[in-house]
Amino acid sequence: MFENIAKFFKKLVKSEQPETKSKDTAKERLHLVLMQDRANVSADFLELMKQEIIEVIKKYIEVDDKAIDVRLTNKVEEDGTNGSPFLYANIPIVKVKNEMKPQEQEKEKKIEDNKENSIEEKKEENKTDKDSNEKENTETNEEKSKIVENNEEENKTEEVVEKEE
Amino acid sequence: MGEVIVITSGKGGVGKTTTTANLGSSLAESGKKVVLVDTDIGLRNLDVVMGLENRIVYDIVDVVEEKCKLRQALIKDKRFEELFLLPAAQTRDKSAINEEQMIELTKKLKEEFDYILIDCPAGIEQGFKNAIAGADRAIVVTTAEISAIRDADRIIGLLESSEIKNPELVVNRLRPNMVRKGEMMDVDDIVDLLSVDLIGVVPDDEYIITQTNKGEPVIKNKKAPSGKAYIEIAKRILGENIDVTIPGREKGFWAKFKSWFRK
Repeated sequence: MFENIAKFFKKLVKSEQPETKSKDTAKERLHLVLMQDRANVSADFLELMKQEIIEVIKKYIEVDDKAIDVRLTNKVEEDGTNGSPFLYANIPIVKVKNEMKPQEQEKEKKIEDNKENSIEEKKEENKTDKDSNEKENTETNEEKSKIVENNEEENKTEEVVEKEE
Repeated sequence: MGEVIVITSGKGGVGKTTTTANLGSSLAESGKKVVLVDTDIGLRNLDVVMGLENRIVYDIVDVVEEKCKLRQALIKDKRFEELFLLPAAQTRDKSAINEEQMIELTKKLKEEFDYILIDCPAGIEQGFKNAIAGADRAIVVTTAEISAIRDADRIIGLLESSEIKNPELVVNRLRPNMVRKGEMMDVDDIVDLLSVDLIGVVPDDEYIITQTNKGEPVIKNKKAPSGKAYIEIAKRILGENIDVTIPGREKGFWAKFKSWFRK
């Protein structure tokens, strides 16, 4: 009973106060600033990590060294606020190394280049910065890099691109 | 073999030195052999907070440079059995000592003392690196202020990337009245943001100032809520498994009764 009375008085007091508490403002600001601080890794560290990632990928795929983009960034939440930091890697593939015969691979490459070009034409100009000799751009999301390991999968991803358009 | 605990914060003025002085005093009161090491070279203050400023002959730099023996530089506190202070040098700077020398020094102190409390300077430069070099454990002090919490987060990151895992958090200068009104971040908010273990919460009170004016640790004043909080933290350092008392959320009938009549 006493608690109910106390609650009643508390409510009375509360209703006189403004809605936004300064503590909530502080919390929100701090949350953002900590995310930024935590994602801020030194350039040397990132360069070292980038080199190692490239070394591993090179075992399986021929990639365009100069066009590789690796950085730490913040995931953007649905409500537009910054979420947890994540690793972004854009690695353009020049050639997939697989067990196919070189000649067959060449043929397929030509076919795919044609496909790619036709898709490229449809795309809006500002959407891509791909070179024409790039087969595919892979993007990582949430630190998992999708690496296209064979041609079949490449075709699948192209289908996805077509659907999106 | 003793344990080396570094008390750090990143930001200055959040209460590292006061925390070091009071935790050390409380551990000594519990019968442990304790030494307080001031690593804030050039801006020493642990000596005045402890009221031992008039007794300094040698300092930490003299010890490291072997101008005196370690024993000669240690100042014995008269109030507590087995409490000692190793003061910082005032006329030198942080570069007077390096990390290897600190590791060597803490090794020697570990042989003689149960607890070695290191008062870390503000910042993340050489002084900080020296202070954490020989530490086994870290206590991070913060207040509920946005700047202090941000710096604490940075320090926690740096501690974890060095060899000191699981730093523990002290939230200092909490004002229960402001928390109740929603004008100060709650302990839970801070712990959530920093995601570390909480070892204690110290309420803001005037006893800290009056006791420090006299050069007495606040744990000496039995009326001081802040002193009680420090004693509780010392117990947890000693391994007692007790719940952290959060000021403004005290348990018991009387505390609840009082809370009904507060805004």
